[in-house]
Amino acid sequence: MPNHRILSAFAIEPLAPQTPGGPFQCPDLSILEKRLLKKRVRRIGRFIRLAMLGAVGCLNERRMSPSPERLGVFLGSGLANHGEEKDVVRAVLSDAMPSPTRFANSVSNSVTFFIARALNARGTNMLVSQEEFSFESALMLADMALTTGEMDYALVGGADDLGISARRTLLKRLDMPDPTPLGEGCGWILLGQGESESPLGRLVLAEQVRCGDQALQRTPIEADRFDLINDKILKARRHGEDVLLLPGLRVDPEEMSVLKERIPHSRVETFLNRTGIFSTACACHLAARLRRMENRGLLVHLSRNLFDEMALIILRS
Amino acid sequence: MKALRTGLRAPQDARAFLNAKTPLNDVPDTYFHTAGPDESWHRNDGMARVAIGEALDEAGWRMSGKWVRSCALIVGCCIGDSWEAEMWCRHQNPDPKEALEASEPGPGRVGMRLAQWLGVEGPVLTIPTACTSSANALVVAMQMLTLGSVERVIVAGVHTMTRTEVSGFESMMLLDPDGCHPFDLRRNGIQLGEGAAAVALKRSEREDGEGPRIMGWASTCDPYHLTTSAPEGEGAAAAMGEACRRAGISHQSVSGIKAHGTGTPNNDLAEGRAIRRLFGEAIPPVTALKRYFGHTMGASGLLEMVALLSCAREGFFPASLGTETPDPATEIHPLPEHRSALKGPLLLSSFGFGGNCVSLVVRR
Repeated sequence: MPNHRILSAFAIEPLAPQTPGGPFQCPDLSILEKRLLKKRVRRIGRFIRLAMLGAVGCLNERRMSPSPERLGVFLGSGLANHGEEKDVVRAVLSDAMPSPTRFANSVSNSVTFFIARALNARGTNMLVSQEEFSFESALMLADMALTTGEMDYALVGGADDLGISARRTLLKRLDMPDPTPLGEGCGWILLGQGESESPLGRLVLAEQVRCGDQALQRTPIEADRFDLINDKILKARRHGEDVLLLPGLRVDPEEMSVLKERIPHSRVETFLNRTGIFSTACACHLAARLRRMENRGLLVHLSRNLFDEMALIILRS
Repeated sequence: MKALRTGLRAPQDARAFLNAKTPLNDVPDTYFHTAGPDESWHRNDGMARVAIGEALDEAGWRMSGKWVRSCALIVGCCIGDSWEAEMWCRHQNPDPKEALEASEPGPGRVGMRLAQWLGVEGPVLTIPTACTSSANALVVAMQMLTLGSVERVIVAGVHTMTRTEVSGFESMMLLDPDGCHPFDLRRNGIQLGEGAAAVALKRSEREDGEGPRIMGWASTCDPYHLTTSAPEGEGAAAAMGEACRRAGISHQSVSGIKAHGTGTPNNDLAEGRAIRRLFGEAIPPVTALKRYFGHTMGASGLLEMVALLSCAREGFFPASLGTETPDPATEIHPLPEHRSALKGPLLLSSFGFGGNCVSLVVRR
């Protein structure tokens, strides 16, 4: 199990909808940009701006200057830069030449370039797009880069924005009925190998629970899979430690109550009703929670994708 | 490759290709199994399945064998299902708004669908880091194997050429209408290609284990500019040096270099200088392979590694096709003719938009 220190956390959380059933959207980013950056970054779309501001905010929190070569950036995103990508597609479908800037920005990992440039991060720089497990996957990548010693610090984030064109795409991709309250936001944590005076917490585990026996796959709420998940949580839990269960996408209350009954000192906190639904909502909520340092104990996030596979994140705060 | 011929059609055929209704006719359907031309059909998946099927055959791993229990799938792919949306728009002529909705951003689904097809039970990751996608997928696979989190990994790289991409590169004036000429005086841009490659990797404690071996790797970022490389190649040189260090070899032990070699004026200049920066006067033989297959973007890192190893098995180190008059400014002289296979470790590099630099050290 990894045991990397969480040195800082930063989230850009969405606001409650203006109208019932409306989207959970982030506030105007320009105010945050003025606070975090010396000058406005030009010619980037909302998604890149959102992710970049979150990353800068996270590193600024700690006022650290890690060696550029030893600082990696790992971002998970479900839809990535769909807004600028669709602008390019829109131009092409109309037989027009797309804007070169838009095209360059729409290339998958342009977002992590802008983050790396803003932070002068010269280590591993990866975007991972794994649908509903994108943030979980980014954590896995960061964990490996730290454990193999390739990086000393890893900024790990999840970000998705809800542009006008995203609503139908997102509903279709997540296979959710309309009206589902959708959301947007980003969350970042800074992981480090070295000793630190006051870490916010530790990364205990991030994995896709596809593994194990075939029997654990593609079945409804069955005891076997929960045995596996339950074992992982209990193995991570220290004696007497509180456990906060954070159900994500497609994890229903009944399933959570099964876990809650098995794990001592545990309680359930739902958050999708506060962030809205998006692929990386868990990043936003976990980072916000860590930053607020509301309680000590294990934070356990569990979610399920369209293929009935599960992913698990365990953090200690 | 042996005949020093490009597999590409004339560059001007790119648009004809994109207008064709069924451009996948020439791909054998041996490995497509149940996925026919229905809504579960995707061009990325089709190509990747062919490559994965061949890799499994070669490794002797049967479909649905027990190996799937401890096997991860890492896919390098930088676009999602854009091709399908373009085809739908072109042939069904729907409302452009609906076509736009149909375009599927993010390539994560490619990995998920391939994982379902294969039945692997280990982690599934899709890495979309532009031209370094599949090279980075190899890096991630090596990390997993090194840490022992899985016993086996299938790594696939796949890229489908789309009209969007052709138009995008055209808008940036990065396409060479005469095809690419890596490191050549007349180089003027890239030549697009598409394809897939796959490898089956297994954890091995033995240094002298069978088959080729990935000895070292480095994945770094040089955030100089979104689309162009730092002219002196500092980031690229650092990645190459780090890959050698990680492989436990001195750069002087490298017997040959597979350059990224896109054929763009800036990138080749930077890469040539990076090689010079690291190797000084003692530069081993250098080749660039994009004239053979075109620039297959997210698939290119893995595809070129597979091609290079296949050449080695055939007994030669390939010439740099398309390089006729090396540009002295790049400070390197890519091979004009094939050489007999090189015995020592090979250094392979992939660089991409966003300053990504990935280098691998591979032993035959």
